[in-house]
Amino acid sequence: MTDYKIPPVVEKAVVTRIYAQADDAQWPHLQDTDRTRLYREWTEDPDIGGRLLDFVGQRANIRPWLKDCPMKEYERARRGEGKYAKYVSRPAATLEQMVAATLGPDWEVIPGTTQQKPMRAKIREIGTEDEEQHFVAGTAANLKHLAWPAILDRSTGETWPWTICVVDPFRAPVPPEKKGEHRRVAEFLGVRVVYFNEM
Amino acid sequence: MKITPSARVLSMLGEIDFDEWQCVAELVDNPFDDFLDILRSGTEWPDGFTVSVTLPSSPQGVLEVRDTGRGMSYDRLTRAVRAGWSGNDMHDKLGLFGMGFNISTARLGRRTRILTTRAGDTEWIGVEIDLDQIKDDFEAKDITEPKSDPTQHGTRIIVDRLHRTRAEWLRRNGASLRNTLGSVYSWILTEHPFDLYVGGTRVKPVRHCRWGDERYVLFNGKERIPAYIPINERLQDGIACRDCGEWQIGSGDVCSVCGSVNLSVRERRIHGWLGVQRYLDKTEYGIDFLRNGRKIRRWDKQLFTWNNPDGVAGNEEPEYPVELAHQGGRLIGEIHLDHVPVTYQKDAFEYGDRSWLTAMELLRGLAPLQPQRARKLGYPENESPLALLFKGFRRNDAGLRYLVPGDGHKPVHADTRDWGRKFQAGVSEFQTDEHWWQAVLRHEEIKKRGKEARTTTSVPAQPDEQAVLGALGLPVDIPASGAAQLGTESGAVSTVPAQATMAVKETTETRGERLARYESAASPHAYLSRSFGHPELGYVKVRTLLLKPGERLLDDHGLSAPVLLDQRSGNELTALVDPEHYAFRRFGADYADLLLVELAAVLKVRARSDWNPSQLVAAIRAESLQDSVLDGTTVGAEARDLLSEIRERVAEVLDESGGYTAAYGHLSDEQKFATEEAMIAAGRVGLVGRLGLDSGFVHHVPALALVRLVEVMPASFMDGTVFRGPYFGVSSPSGKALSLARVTGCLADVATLGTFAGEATAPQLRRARLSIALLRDELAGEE
Repeated sequence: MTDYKIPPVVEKAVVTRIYAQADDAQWPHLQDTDRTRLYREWTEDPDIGGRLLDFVGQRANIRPWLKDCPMKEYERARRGEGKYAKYVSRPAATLEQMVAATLGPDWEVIPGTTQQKPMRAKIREIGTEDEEQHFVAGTAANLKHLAWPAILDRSTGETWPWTICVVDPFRAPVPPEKKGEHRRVAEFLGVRVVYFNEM
Repeated sequence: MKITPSARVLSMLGEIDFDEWQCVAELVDNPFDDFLDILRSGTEWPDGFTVSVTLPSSPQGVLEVRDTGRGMSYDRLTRAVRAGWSGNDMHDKLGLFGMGFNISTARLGRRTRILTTRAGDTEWIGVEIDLDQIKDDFEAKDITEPKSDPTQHGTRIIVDRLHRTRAEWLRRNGASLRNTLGSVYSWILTEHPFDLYVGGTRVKPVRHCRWGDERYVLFNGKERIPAYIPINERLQDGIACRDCGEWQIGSGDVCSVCGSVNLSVRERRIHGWLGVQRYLDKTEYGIDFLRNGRKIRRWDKQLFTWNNPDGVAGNEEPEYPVELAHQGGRLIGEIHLDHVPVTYQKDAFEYGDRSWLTAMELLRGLAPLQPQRARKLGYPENESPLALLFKGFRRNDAGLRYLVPGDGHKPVHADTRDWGRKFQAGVSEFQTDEHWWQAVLRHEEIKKRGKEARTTTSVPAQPDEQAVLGALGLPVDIPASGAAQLGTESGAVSTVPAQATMAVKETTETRGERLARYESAASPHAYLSRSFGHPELGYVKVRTLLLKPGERLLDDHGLSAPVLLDQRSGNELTALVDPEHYAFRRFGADYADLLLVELAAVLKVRARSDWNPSQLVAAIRAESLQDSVLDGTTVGAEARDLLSEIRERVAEVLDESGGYTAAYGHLSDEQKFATEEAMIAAGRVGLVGRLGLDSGFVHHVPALALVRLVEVMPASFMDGTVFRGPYFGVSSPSGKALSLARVTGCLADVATLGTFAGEATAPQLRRARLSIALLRDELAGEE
């Protein structure tokens, strides 16, 4: 799917447009039927499907490309990560901002330590060299993936502190009973769970 | 004297019958009220207006409602949680008596925590109401929570130790809750920038699928009746008490109920609209009534019932939908009654209140909607907006006259309903009424082709014996063939295969060009453009086009074909149909039959099916064209609908001419007895004494007696009074007899079927359906 030769100018125009519409529609809170409807509208839109058509061969390929490429990256792009991040008009909080919001402004991401899937980095208190920690962030639905790096780390005998930051959106808050579950997991693993409240 | 109620009272509030959705709505009303205040005050509100409801994920879970409102001070919070307290100016609020909060939280669970914070506050403050802990001193525990960002503001209500069955319901019914709230708050969510989320998913306003502002029908060929009537009626301003909410009668300085001096003059207005839905439904029709933007009544049908002020209770008569009632109704509306008091459950208005009665009078008038009934009871014609819509849209025949999409023969209610579901699902091409409108136009076009023959011979403008007799020589114009066409010269051309001339054309035109030429001038057939197939065979999407008159459909060898399939990308096919092909014109074949034969071949190959062609055709028809099923219930109902229209018109004619006594005299004794019995069975005992003294009996005579009446009094009912066939002006007895027989023949069929639909065989039902169509065309004034 990804080896279509889509010229950067077309990709930019198309992705900017669908990201703006996904933002307007509150993509993360849409029902499947509404997502289906948007995909169909995009496919039929001359400025989206119409421009892609020449490069993906046939109409039937438009939707899979939209779904597997830009929309699969949407969440990461909103947080300033990945090749599509530059097309986001209303970015969400980045890893740096989450660190500052949950641990305080004295904490910073150590440059060059950021990794993806899940989004994580090493952090430290500004001005200190030895107070380093691991910081990993994501949604509650992805908790097991957030915990996995810590588990691997622990299994090799590493003892550095891990902070798991769970995004807690205002429109779909993490239910208190889920938070109880997180607390038990954190206790069991010996890590810390914090919540990043997002509007 | 301490009259604080016992703590048990608070707990008992939970026993008040509120549905789960009502409990949640009570907790959503409050933030919406706050948002409305913010909007009214004109304050900038950069964080948006969002309410988010979190549902319990297990029976041990919690329910949480949080908002981005202003938050409360400690004092305001204290008052807000006290049962019976309500903010000032309750007339502009969704909230009412200040009990909704206590009732709904007590009903949902045993412990409620409210946390609130304003921008600039240093922490969340709150109170915990634990019904198991609270004592008679009503001391609820103050609670606080740290606040990470001082700019945060809003309120959170957290209910836990939930009532088990209600927690179960909330856990399982997120989608249904969203749908209910989407309809209750549809107006607010559409008109204001408010967002409501339930279980992380946005609540979409459930909007009305109504015909556009510009659509209308012509009543009697001249009176324009719009399909959308805006309502905006300012009533005299009223004086209301700002403390207890009561409207004041008279103009004193103190409230006549609570004695407060806090009175204010308020505007009273009935506004909104009445209109016509694009589809019929058995339950989804009626009027929505709103108070301060929240829907109190949805699909309310009480306006369609006439309450006789002189009648006995319980004897109210429904007036709509009366005809074709088995498909339901389509008159709808959205009426705001902000000044009319509602019950504390917010699911009904105070129906005895004067302001409600005034609104009813304005919307539906005092007289019955049915003009006949109004006249009989001595009322002038009802000219209210609802009566106007009733007059224009009471019947549901396909076509422009009633704005009902059809397939050329009959309405396609199942399809229009299905499109309505697509409208609700947000499919873009169904958002405007264009899709429905095109189906109305296509119906008229197909029907016009089929009717050309009949109109030339039987319009009353030509009471010419020659024309009537000429009808004898005509080929039978069966409407089921869709476009049976008359005419001598076009007939002659079409029966001779014009291969020679066409072959020349072939040499200069490719297949693609030829098909494109057909397509460009063809008109789509709405009913046959759909998905065809069977679970065993798979499905194809077919777009069916009827060739324009004069065009001949030729296959790749230059031979004339009735139906030609053209495979398009993937699953899509275009079917071209030549309505003038002799298979249709001379042999009365149905378009669908031959189309199915073609499709069967395609699907057989594709699915490698070993079914034989007839099995394939039968299976695909049963699966894909369920609307065309011939069942006694549907056809019987159609017959009775038409009969009731004819009864109405016959009664009208008899009333005008005074011929009712003579007409009654023509009934046999047996028919008279049957009429009496029918009246008594219908509860119209009072009418029995008036038999033969007015036309009331016509509504109760056995259907076959109608045939007799037309036969013995033809001069009264022909010539454009009830039926448009000529009679008086036809000079020869045989011509008269023929003209009359065209009507009575069909009428007898319809009457028989209307009475004995249950036992009818398929051929009888088919004949009846044709007779219904033919007779409908014979009705005067039905152009």
